[in-house]
Amino acid sequence: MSFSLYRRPGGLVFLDDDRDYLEMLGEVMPPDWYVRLLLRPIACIDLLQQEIASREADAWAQQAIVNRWREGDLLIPQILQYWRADGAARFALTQVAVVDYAMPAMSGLRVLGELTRWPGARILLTGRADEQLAVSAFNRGLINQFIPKQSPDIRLRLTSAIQDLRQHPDERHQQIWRATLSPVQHALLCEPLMAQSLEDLMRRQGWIEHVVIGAPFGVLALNAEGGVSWLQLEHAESLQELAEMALSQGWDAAITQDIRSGKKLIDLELQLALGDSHQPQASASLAIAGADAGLYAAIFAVGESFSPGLASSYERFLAQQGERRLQED
Amino acid sequence: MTQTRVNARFSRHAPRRWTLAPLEPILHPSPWRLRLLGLALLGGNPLFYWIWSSWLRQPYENPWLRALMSLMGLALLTKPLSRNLASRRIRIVVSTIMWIELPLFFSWMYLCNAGGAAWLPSVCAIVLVYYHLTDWRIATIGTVSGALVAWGLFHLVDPGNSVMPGREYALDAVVIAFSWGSALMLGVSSASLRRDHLAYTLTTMGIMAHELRTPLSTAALIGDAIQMEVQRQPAHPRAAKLDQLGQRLHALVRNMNHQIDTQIANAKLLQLPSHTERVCAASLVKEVTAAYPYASSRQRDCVKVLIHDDFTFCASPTQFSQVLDNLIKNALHSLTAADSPWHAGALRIEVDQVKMQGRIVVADDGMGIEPALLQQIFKPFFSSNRSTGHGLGLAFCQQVVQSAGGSIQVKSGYAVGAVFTLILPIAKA
Repeated sequence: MSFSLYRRPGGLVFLDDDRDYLEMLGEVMPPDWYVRLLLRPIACIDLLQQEIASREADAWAQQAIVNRWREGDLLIPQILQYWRADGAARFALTQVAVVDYAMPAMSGLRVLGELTRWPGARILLTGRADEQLAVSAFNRGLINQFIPKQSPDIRLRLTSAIQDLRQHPDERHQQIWRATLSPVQHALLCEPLMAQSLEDLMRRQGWIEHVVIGAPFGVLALNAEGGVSWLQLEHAESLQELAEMALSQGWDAAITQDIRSGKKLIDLELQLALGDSHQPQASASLAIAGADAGLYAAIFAVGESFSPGLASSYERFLAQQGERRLQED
Repeated sequence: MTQTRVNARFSRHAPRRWTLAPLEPILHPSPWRLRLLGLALLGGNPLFYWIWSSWLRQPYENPWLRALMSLMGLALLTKPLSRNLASRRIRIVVSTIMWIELPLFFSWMYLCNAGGAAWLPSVCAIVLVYYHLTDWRIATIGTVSGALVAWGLFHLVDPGNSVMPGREYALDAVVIAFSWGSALMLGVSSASLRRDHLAYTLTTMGIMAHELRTPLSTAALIGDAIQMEVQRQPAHPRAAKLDQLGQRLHALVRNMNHQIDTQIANAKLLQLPSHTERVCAASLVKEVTAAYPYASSRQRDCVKVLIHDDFTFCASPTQFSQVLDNLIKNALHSLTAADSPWHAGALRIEVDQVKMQGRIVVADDGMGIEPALLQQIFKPFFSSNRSTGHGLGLAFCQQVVQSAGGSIQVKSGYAVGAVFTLILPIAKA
């Protein structure tokens, strides 16, 4: 496993012709997921087709950040600007579609067949007799996974399958952000041990969205309340350079010594990106274990004036969706 | 959608259906039907002896032969023959009697009388009757072999009658061939009608069982939702009760799914897949008794498993689990009907080896089965309990056990419980 370069929460779509089943599925999914329940295959196809354009626009907005960075713009202010401008629209984009196979109007596989251009993950719910069909659909790459509807632990199986797919990095995003990383940086993130420790850190901090950048090296992360943090990452070799930079900016010898030994890190580059209104500070570093070379990391808060804030946070977005109801038309 | 899918599955084996269908040597084997046949043979033979020898004289009659035929009719009236049609030996005896009485005897009489106005129509009628009494495949072989044997005997013994002129032979041959062809056609079509009827009924059952699954999985999700609600408010005064109700709902859904699995397996009795592997009898019995969804702990505690001598046999383990499930279900049902005190060992399952053969015995102290019904319990859609059972379980059991090269036997009497014995060939190591 490697650490995904970009991740954010997205929506789920459930399509089933059985009203009761669908409502109950909505009932038992984790409350921090944005779930839409659809009865009609056509409505589902329309919904996901319409999303293709917004996904495309979103991907281009991200690509433009990287393109401007190549021309000399800084990454961090651009990403913060992208988040503020987007509000919460990106959270509504569907990541996983869960489709029942046996529906009277149209089979689940046909529905997915109509959605070839829609890039999200697909789960097929099958009856007992449909297993062969599902296996062949899986082998042909039409679906990411199938789950028998009648399995006694359907809730747990479905939840963990969806969770895995939500964690899975989006190919397009990976490509876009990969461009900012040096080969050494990328290799570090591909190390399983390193990826796991970063993953744990994200969970502990309650960060729901993040983007990894190479210049400066670190992770810009967003929590559910719309607050932004900067996880600065440093190699052992770059500590010396950071210490000298701190010294040249007038930091005292004790702190520069701490930086040199890896006890503390200082967010000078964040200040460079955000301007003088951001006061740099030295913060205790966490060692992030890797297979051969470790990383030093420290967390710095980004001021509220730069953050998207509660108004366009994921938490507010979920609250606005209200109870999960069938979408009638 | 579900319907067409299931249909497709059920008709996949259609072309093989009646060539491989099990033989029914006695069609509609009711004791009364058999007794009526015996009575007709017992009285008909002397009557026709008198008619053909005294009143409407025919060239050939034989009192000794008529007496022998009459006695065979009498044999059909006896208790062991007319009652225990489930036994393979009895079925062979009854089939042999029918073969001697019908195709063999009538061909013989026809040849000895050189055909004629009395015997040509009689032979034609008897061919039709024969096809109505036994499986069309047995009837076809029986008719041909009866005619050939009679022909052979006629030339061997030569009762001294003249052979009829060649021209009449041809006429008779055409008439007999016509009636034989009609009998064959009717036999085949009514056999396939019976099979179709069975197949459709089974398909319907399969579909119904299948259709129940979706609402059941919804019910399971409701159980999940209740339990999740409890987890959100663990301090609620009724939280424990709600959690318990959620668990009850889950247990109920598991139980119903188990029932549906059994019914669907039973309904596939016409096309059991032939996949086999080595099955260890003791572990199979232990697994099935442990996993069975008992209605109460008293039911669970009354089951006693005795492993005297373990063995392995070749069969499909899933099908055999269903066989044991069916037998346990029947036994528990019978114990409930008998208002059993559920003492330990009221239901016993024993694994043993006897005479180089494996045995699994399922014995209960329940209601038992009336002797008159014993012969029918393995027939599809026969049930001793019309209101609750559909009577497929034992038909399925028999089919599975026979396809594993074994046999299933039952011993029972009214109010003395029932003992089902599965006899299985032991797989060589």
